[in-house]
Amino acid sequence: MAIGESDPQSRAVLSPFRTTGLSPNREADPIATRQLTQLQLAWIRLRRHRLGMIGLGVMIFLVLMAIFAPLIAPENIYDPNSNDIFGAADKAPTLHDGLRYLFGADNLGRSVTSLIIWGARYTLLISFTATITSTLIGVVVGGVAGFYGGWVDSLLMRVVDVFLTLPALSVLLVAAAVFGHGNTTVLLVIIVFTVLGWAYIARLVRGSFLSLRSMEFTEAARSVGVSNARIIFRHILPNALRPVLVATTLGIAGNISFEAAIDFLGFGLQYPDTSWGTALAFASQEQFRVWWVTVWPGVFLTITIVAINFVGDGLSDALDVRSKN
Amino acid sequence: MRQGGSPISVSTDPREASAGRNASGNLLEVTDLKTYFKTMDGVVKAVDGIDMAIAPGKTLGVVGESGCGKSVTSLSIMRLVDLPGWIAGGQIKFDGKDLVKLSEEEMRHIRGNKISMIFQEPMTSLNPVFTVGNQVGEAIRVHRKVSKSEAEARVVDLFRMVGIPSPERRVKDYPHNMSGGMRQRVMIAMALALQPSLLIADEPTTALDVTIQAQILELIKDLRTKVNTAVLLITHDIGVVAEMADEVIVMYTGKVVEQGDVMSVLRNPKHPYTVGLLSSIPSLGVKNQRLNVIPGTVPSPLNLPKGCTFAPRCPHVMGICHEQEPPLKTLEGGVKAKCWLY
Amino acid sequence: MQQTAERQTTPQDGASNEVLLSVRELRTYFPILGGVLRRKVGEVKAVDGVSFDIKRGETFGLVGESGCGKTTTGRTILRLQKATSGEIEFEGQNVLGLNPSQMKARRRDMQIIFQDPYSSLNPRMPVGDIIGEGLRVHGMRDRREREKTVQYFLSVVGLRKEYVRRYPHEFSGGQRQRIGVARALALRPKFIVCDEPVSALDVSVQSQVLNLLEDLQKEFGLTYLFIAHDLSVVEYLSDRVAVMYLGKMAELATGDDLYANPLHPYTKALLSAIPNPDPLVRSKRIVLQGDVPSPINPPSGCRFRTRCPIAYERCAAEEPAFREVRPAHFVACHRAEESTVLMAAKVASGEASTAMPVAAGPDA
Repeated sequence: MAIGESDPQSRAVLSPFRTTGLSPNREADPIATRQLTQLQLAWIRLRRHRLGMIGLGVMIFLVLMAIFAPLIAPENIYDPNSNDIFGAADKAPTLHDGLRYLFGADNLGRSVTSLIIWGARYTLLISFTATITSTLIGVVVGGVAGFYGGWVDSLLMRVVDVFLTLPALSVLLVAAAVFGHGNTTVLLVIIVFTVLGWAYIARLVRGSFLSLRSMEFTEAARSVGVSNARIIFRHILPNALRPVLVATTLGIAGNISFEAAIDFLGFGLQYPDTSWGTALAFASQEQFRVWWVTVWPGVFLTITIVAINFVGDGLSDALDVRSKN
Repeated sequence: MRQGGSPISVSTDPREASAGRNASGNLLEVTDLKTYFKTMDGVVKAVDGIDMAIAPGKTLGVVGESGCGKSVTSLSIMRLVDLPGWIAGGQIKFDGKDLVKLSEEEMRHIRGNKISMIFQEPMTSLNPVFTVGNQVGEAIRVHRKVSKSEAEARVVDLFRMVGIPSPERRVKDYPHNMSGGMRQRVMIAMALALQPSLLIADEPTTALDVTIQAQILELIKDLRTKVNTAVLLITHDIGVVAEMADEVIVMYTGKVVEQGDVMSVLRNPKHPYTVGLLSSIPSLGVKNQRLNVIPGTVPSPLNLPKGCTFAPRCPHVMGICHEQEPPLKTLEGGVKAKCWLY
Repeated sequence: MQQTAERQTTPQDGASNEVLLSVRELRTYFPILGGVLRRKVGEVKAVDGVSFDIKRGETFGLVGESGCGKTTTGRTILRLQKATSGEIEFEGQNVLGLNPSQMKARRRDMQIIFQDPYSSLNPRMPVGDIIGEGLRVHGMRDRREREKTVQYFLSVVGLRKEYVRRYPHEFSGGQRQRIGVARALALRPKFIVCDEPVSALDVSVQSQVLNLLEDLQKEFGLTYLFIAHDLSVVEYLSDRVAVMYLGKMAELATGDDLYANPLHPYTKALLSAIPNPDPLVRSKRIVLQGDVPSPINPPSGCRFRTRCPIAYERCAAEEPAFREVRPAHFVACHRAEESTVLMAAKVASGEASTAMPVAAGPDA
């Protein structure tokens, strides 16, 4: 948007649709361009977002690392025989052993490199799965509430309110006691995270749907006889997607750090299941005697969260219709 | 009619308002003002070298379509242009001082005190969590050393002055309890609280219904005669200018294209843009006569045509128009027009 | 009691005498929900018993200030808003009684142009899809054929055919409004509700769109319901003009007659409140006192009486009928016959021409 539009009030307009005034027209060039879909346009814009691309690169790298952990990790941390418990206990980081002891080893002689590579599996699996399922549930519930309104909306939103007030740790402990015989398993963490997370998305989607439903372009669609399903999928959803996708990426980041926190507190994954959080927790039991066991998983946690936030930022810009393509 | 006589009961000394003047007798003199904005695609010259002057108690109307720079002009005078915009040049002489050169601290003393502003949207201009009385009182206490109760009493007087019914009660209202017309009255009360010598009204009635607009315009007129405040009235509505202003400036792409007294400019417009603008308004009682159309649209501020910026839309365009920018020439009768026809 | 405009017979230019749309006693109330259980605690009576006929080929103007119900009336006619009661007949068919599939078919005939050129176009759809969507849902499945039709309508509204592939944000306000017009036209409707189609546009662009609407009316034989708050725009375009106040009809007459001889005090005030661009035309202005009362709890009797300079006891006690005071000129005012004289006297004495002080309205 160029600046010619300088009415003081236009600054206050937060909605993606400007409501008043004329834009200083960008006299479009006469050549018919190839029709690009919204997805292609978004990808083109994302590619120009440097930080977003960096974040995306880091995420792809981490996901590949997690998937191929058995092939690239120097040790199989779930195999008691693969680590050098006597020779490498508390080994300080060194450049001499290639990747294996680059980040040092813990008191069991497990190389930190291996802990990080294997730990990425559960860390990413839990956060991605839980966030994506909560997003799906949230979009459906929020979409139904926002589109149909009335008592459906009231009912669903009261349910959402209940879920929003659930105390996370208590839910986790109760779930562990009831379903996991006192143990927190990976599946249990995913389910609990989903249960705790969908309501935020639902509330967000409901708000978007509610305002988009009364936008004039939805009314225009209704006035030519477009069906509800088509209105939802062609008119409302594409416009509601941007905040949802941004919230989802931030949700992944949030879930990563929350998972690490519950591991650290001992309510999370149990030995031998390893995530970056349990690696941190394990180090804390050693009273941080060996700094490298704490620091490196922490560094990876931070890098991941920052990278995801970059991706979120990039997506937010890429999905903004008004930005230049 | 609860109070006959003058509603301006908290009248001020008109001499105070007209005390500070520039040497020429004008309260405000803007010379060659330039306000630019930096964008991703280049520099936008939102205001590009405009001159204007207002004498105490007079009203200057600034008309033009969106994007012509009229609002940026008012923000520049208030020094409220934020990055990525900046005042790139020129002088804003007010009260003998050049506002462009003042420090932010000195400017704060002038804003709301000597120059105040009313905006188009009275809803967003008021803070929803404070009562309107509180907000107007605050504005007084920022600039004047008065006790809280004195300020409160003053607010009630001001509310009465701008025609808010039962002011003692309404001062305790929150902005959302009030209608658009009432909120605009509150804004006017706030703007007048310190008896500014210049009132900048940026589309003060655009968001209001005609019958409410009529009330507000009458109010501004009334205050102007009684408080002797000079008014800079920015609007797209030529009818409002015709009714309110003594002088008028027509802006197009950041420049003044025509300037003069209201009677001459609106009755006998010189610049083809003014002519086009005036004849494209449907007026009451005139029917079955096709509206005049100015062809095309306002050019992008990033890509202004060479020479006269109106040339591509002008019915009288000549060769020179595409080559050279015309000067703002003074014609007989004192009207100025920026056009090669003259 | 409620008479209608049926008997008017003065043919307008281009307008026939055949009634295309007839609205009877239309009411649209919005419930106000409150409390934990979201029970209905009140109603906004946005449209409260409105009747009028629109003849084929004419432009019927509907004016009034914000909150008078003009927009709701337009939307209710198109069933974008649920009517509380009343009848809407289009070509003799009761629109409110249609089932969804019948309604879908009817929608081809009745279209709308919105006020806001920004929010009325889906920012994530290319122009071709926006205009062609109606064609698609009404059975034009072939993409090529659809695109051709869209291109035709783009050229009809004065835009380039190449624009089909562009997105709305690439256009200026005036161009976007043309796209909105093309969308409404694409289904070849008989009737279009123009809901403040130019009020968000700049003056010079406004006249372009108004001229376009006039041309299209001739070319496609359209009937317009033209809704606006700006009386000069409505009067310019319309054959007949209705003035609404707080959910009710105040006055209905031909455009010329309404302008020359307004009978309702509200119409008089509205006309005099419009600032005239000619500095020499300075008539004494009637300035109404106070604000429009709330439609939740409208005043008894005549709804305008709280602001009316010539109201008397009867106005509070009895609701005025919408009656034909002069041929084809309907007014809802007890004092319609004497209003001109009474108002002139008030203005002369200065009682109705000052902005202040403001009488306490119900909202005060």
